[in-house]
Amino acid sequence: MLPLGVSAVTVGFGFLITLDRPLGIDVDLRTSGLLVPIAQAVVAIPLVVRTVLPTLRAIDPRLREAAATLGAAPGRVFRTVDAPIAARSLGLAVGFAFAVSLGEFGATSFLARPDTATLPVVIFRLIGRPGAENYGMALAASVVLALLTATVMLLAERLRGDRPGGEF
Amino acid sequence: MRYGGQGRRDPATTAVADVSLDVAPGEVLALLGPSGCGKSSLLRAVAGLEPVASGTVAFVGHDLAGVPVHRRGFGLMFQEGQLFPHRDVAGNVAYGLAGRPRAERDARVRELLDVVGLAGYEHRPVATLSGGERQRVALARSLAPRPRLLLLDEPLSALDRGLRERLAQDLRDALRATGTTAVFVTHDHDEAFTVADRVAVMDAGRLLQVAPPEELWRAPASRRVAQFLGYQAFVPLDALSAAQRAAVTRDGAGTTSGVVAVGPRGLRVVGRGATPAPRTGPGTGRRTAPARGAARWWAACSGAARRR
Repeated sequence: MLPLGVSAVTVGFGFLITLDRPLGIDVDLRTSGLLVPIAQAVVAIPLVVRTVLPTLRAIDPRLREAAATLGAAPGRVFRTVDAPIAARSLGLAVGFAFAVSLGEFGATSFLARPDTATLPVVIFRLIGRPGAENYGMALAASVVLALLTATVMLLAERLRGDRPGGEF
Repeated sequence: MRYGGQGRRDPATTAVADVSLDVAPGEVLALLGPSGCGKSSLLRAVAGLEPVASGTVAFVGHDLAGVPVHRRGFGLMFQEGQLFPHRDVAGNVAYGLAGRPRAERDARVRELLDVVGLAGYEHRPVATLSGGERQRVALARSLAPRPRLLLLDEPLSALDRGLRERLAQDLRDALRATGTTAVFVTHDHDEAFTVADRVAVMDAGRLLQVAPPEELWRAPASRRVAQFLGYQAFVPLDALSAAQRAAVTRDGAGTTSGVVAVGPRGLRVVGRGATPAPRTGPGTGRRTAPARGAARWWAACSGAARRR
């Protein structure tokens, strides 16, 4: 839960000052296009965990025991019992993570490079510039962002279906 | 099949102690006891789901300590079935048949659904099944891989009475038809007597008596066993007259020490209408209640409440 509690700005700033040589590997992540997805993943992981974990915990241990007495080794139990039951909530979690990453601003604004900005960063930049054209473009971009996020969330909710024992 | 003198220890408790049981091939043994007497723990220990603190679980002479659950070849059927919710009926039954050719698997699934009386249910989602149907599917699923030993943990307890009695009969037929060796845990003696060849009565983690149903009913080894079987009144033999003793003992009036247990239908009021009047017989009538087609009458005799 820590990444949720810590301001995304701190996460972004921290990434900027620490990831010039991550783990001693000679790769400067700060100039790499990978940095933004990594930061967004850090921000979104708590949501994924929060969505998937309750489903995994809710699986009756006796269901796994039943599988074991039917001759399933632990690996097969995970593959055939835990994974399929968790799959739906995993789909929901992926949707959440995608929507959150799409709209993430705090960390991304620090890390996005001028040539590869994300939608919220573009909107911020457009508003900062004078002129009705820029303002209009910012409005249009906001509508696009809102529509995208809404669509993704709707799809994710759909995917989750109305199974009994659902989470949230 | 033998599990000798085993105990399961939690940090502070021993659920089962000094239990030694043998199950013959093809036999159905019922473990009968009140809730919390350790019978389920014993079953789970045999399945390998609970660690055994001391003692052994052995199958045809081989100690099973260290053999993981999925290699024991023991089936286990739970009280609530524990069907896989994301698989249909056929998928559930076929779970233990992984790695066999598809045609063989399908044939076995059909065969077993036939045994449990659910032919044609292959593609039903398990969520649409009733409680009784679920248990039938669970039975088919645990029988499918031909377990060397099938363990049944109160498989019928969650069902209503009528269904339970019918399913107990069907369960026995299914076990017979497949020649399965089984250990059946229950707290219901009618169920145990219907299904099992031999009944082992357990209480507080100990084994009280192992006997075929008729023998168990005719000669309970102790008062505790008799009480658990439903005997309610206990009369010391020396309180009876010689004629009465001759009527209730096998060797005439020879035995004078011991206790006569009176079963739920051991004493009956005959004649004088269907319902006993409050002052019939020795003692004072307390109350009457209808029970399974007859009136039950509680009376106080010699200071103790007894049921007739």
